[in-house]
Amino acid sequence: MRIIQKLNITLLLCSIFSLANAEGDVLRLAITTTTENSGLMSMLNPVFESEYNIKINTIIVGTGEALRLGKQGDVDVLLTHSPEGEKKFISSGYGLKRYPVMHNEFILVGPVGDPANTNAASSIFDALNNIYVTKSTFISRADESGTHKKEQFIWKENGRTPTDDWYVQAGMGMGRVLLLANEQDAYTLTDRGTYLAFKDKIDLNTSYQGDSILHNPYHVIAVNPELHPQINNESAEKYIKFITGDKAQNIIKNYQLYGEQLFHPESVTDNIVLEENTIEVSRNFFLDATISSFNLIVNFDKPLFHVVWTSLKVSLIAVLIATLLSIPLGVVVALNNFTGKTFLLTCLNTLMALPTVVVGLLLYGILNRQGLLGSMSLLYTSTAIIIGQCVLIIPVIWNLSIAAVNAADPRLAMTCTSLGANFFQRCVIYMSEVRFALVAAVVTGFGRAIGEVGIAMMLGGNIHGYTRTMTTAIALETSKGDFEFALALGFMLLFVAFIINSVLQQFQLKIK
Amino acid sequence: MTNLYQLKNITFNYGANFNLADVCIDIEESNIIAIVGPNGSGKTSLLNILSFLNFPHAGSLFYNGIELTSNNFSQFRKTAGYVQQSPYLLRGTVFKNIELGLKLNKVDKETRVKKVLEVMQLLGINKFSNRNGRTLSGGEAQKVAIGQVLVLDPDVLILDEPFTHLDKDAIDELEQIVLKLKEDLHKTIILTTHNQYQAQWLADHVYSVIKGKVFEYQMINLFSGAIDFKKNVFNTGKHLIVIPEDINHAEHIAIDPKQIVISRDKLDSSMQNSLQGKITGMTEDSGQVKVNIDANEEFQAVVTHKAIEELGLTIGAEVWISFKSSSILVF
Repeated sequence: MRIIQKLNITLLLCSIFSLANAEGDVLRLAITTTTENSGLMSMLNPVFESEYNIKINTIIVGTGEALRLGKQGDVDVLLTHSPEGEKKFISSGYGLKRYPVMHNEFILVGPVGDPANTNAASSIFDALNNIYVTKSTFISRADESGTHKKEQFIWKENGRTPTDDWYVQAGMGMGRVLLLANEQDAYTLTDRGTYLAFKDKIDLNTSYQGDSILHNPYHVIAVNPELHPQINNESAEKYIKFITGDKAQNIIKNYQLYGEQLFHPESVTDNIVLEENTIEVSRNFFLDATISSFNLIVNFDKPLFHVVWTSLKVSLIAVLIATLLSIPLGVVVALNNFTGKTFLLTCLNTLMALPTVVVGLLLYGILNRQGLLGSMSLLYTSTAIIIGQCVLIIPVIWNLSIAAVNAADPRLAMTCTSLGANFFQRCVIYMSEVRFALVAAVVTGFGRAIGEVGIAMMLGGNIHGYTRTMTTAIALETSKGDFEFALALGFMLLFVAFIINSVLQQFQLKIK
Repeated sequence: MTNLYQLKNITFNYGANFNLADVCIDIEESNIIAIVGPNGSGKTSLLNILSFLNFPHAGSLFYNGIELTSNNFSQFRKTAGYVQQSPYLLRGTVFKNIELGLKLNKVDKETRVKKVLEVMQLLGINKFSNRNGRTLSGGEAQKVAIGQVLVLDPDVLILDEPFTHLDKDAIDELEQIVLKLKEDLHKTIILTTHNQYQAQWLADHVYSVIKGKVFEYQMINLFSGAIDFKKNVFNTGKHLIVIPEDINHAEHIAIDPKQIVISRDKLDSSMQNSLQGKITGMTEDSGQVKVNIDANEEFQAVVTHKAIEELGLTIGAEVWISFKSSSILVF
């Protein structure tokens, strides 16, 4: 039995180290959330991967963040849609050249009655001016995204500075802004792809479209390898050749979402045809999503279970490491009196409330290319998430272990003394006596690790098939409007938590 | 018999206003020593010094003729096995509980099993060797706790309130074990108890600890209460007892049992205190008879056989007890 336990630990430790090393030729591609949400990349990238035998790790971030990742050399190639930012990126020498790939369009959507009469507007400037004059509610993404920049540009050209109550600055992704606009019967500027994905869940109509100002051009840029020697420029160039080539351009041209063409390739001529969408609006989408999510689970949907497995693996390893460190530390701290103990306890209590994004941010600063441990290439790997989750839960398990030992029967101290236990033996006796509470501490730590999203998102990068965990996938799928997958993951998360807790409950009963 | 412990002017401070002051006692080998006294009097502090858990703040402590210093103090810890009040048993079986101390001292398995079985046999607990320590009754747990330290073969066994919370049968059994430890294993046993009469018959020597002072004689007829200055009496809550004059503070009184006079009728004498009661017990003790009288409070008087015969005293007889205020120790 002991041998098996040791073997298991060895296996786990091995898998920790293997996680850090991604094998083969890997291209790191930064794309924006809206691009990912459109689903286009899942049509393009597998073609590239099989044709060139290069694995793509896609990092999905906002436009500004994508450019910054390029600047730091954390990715090899960018596919972005921010003309101003891209020009600056090139002129600063961070990128070599930008190649036009495609464009899609922004559209103005709004409530059914169209209170600002934008349908009759002569231009997008006119349409937004109508909104300003009628003080109709407008939701701005207010997140410095490409969509937001476009919106700001239009206001500026109009000579308007919207500040009143009707102008809501959400600071959220496109999908959530659409849901918010729907709730508030408001107008908002959106890309067509996200709108189509959400169309059956909301009542908003297309209020204005077709102005060339609303074009949203996409460019691909290779990061300058001279600044960052670890850049995989060879693969980046291959990717640029691929995505601007005929094969990819035709895929882009033929890609449709809900029966509509979404992107217009730059090198293949096509005609913009705008058709009224005919999809029937299902008001019961939440119920439908719930049913579909169960289907995904029951049918052992492979992508779903892959994400579940990634989550479990990462969090279990994090809990294992944190437990091995925190429980001995907890017992030692609880059984010793030393100067600064109160201070330490206060710190630990404070750290228990540590927000996951703060852990993510701090470790991001350390792990990125410019950071202290940048040379280890840990950012956007499972190892980075494991480190982050360890940092998150070590104070939790540590603190709860201290509390567990403090709650031990006060007579235990005397029993240890009268039996002649030395300090180490005393620690072991205490661990054994309060093991029930220690297991509870571990369970709490695991719950916090598996349920957190900030660290997995910031340090893992939500890379499909690699670092996508249950929580980051839920966040992503929700923003894409794929509630089925998100809900299925939500159920799986609860199910996994239930199973783990049941197992530990059994364990606790056994050792009681 | 040789003196195992010698305490010379030992002082130990425990808590803000409490200290053991100027304790001078000798403890002989293979004796049973009972320490009695109210809660907070300093009994536990005395035990902690005798079991080498606390080093005295002042005075000299000798063990087996060796003076203890802060350097050699901790080496003596293993010579005394301490069993705390309502002992705490660990998770696991009785066997494992008793075995633990040997394991901690890195004794090999064969010797461990042998010693544990011996101890369990001696204490009569081998029949529940496999029971979980947590499921035992108070008396059983107390025996297992004694086993836990006895297996380490200490010279002295220190038992803090071993009889508290036990039923009568368990107390009887435990008393037999204490006697056996002395007779068969020649251990020195130091125990604390609330029960004066038990201390008296079980122990070779009884020490009373009252407010940090250790008295070499036992405190029979000990009562707690407060002085009523107007009447110059001590109120025990049940009786008003006339005490010597000019005493300005007292929380306890003790009446010398040899100074208590027993009579069939109320005596018309100079003795200020007279109480009526009923005889509840009589015990022969070195040529004299200890008589227990229930007069609302339990009193004990020591009288001669002759007096018993003359007065025709029997258990259940109605009697008067009388004593002078000068026979009362007030503190």
